Amino acid sequence: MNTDKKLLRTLTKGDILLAAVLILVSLVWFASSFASDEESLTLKIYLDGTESVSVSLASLSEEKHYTVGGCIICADSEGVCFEKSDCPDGLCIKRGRMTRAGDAMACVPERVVVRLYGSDDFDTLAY
Amino acid sequence: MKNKKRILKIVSLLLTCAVVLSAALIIRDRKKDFNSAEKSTVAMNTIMTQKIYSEVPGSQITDIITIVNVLEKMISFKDIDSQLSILNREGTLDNGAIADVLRVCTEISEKSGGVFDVTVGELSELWGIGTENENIPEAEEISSLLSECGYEKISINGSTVTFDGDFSVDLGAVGKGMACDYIMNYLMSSEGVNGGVVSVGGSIVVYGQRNKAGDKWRVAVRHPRNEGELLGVISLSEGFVSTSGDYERYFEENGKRYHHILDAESGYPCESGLISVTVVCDSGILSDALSTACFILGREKGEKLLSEYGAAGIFVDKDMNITTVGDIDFEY
Repeated sequence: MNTDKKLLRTLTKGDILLAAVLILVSLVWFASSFASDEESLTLKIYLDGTESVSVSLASLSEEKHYTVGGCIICADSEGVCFEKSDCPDGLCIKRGRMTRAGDAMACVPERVVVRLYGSDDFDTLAY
Repeated sequence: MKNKKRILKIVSLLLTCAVVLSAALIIRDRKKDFNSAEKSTVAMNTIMTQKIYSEVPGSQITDIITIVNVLEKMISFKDIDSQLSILNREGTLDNGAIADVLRVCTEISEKSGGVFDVTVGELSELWGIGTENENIPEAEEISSLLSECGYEKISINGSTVTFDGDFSVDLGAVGKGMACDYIMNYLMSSEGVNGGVVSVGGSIVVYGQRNKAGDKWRVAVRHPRNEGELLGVISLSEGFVSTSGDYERYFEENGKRYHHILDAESGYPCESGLISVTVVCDSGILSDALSTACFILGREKGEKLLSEYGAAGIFVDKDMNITTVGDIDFEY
């Protein structure tokens, strides 16, 4: 106990400041590595099982249109939707907009799948 | 001397920080410690997503796509060259896989009092729900087709199936679950696979470990009314999950929703008061067939049917009341 007190007394203000800075930097780095996982959504578009587009939604400063197969897919920083399709039923367009990590939608006749990846709190979703 | 002590203190501080950071990183990375690969594609007329954890995950993903495509070729209702189409056309077929799945289907038809029946293929075609031909058929057309149908007109002798009547079987209610069984068998027999989760539309198979910590798999169930929202998440170690709902394929006319799950007794989309049923059990075909059968039967009869098979389930009614049945870990 006395030894601990002695040791504490030998610490200068500079030592304490250095320790505080090191711990703070570690915590910020640790927290930011989690935060980057949680916030970023990656859009992937597949044509017949082959990845055609992979883009971070955060990197989209304005609406962007991707033509994949017979479909036009519209994405912005927050979500994605099918805008046009050559398919006969148009079910993909009726599906509307998708914003959640782990969610997916498809234009079955055109064999195009659109999926959002991120740090969803589940392994898969029953569609 | 004073400088030495100071250096020692700084080194101690740095070491402490390094230990704290290492511990934090180990905790963070415990959940990501297997190699994994993911892919989404269209199969069996729906979305198939795969996440496989293994030493070389890419190869299994390709194999699984091939397995599902081969199965689809065999049981497709639309493909005129499929084994199922040959059976529908000729009324007899020698095919062990189709005989096995029809055994399960006819058993569930019997236990459900005939409301679940895969012989209503032509009736589903007539309604055309989820296609560009969706419509409300004339009552006479429905009753005429219904008079031809009936699971009891299917005879199965070993691997030979014979129809006693002019009807068509549509395996849409069990095909995706069947695919999940095939995928499970493949994953179990593949070397170097730690675990995997594959969804084929509303049917899901989870196998093995998702991480070294041994955490359970988490399967999200879609909210049946609010697009983009979740109803809840099921945690399970291994097995099959299937969901049937009135939101998958439907159209509305005069404010009424006409969905794709037909009651084989009436010939119309069933009105059991349920809008979503999820079943968890140890067989893909069963989970798929039971979710459809329970959806048609309603909550009380559905619960009874699930207990006969030792299966668990989640029932959601039109007032959004959620009931869980059996041994299921469901957060909502």
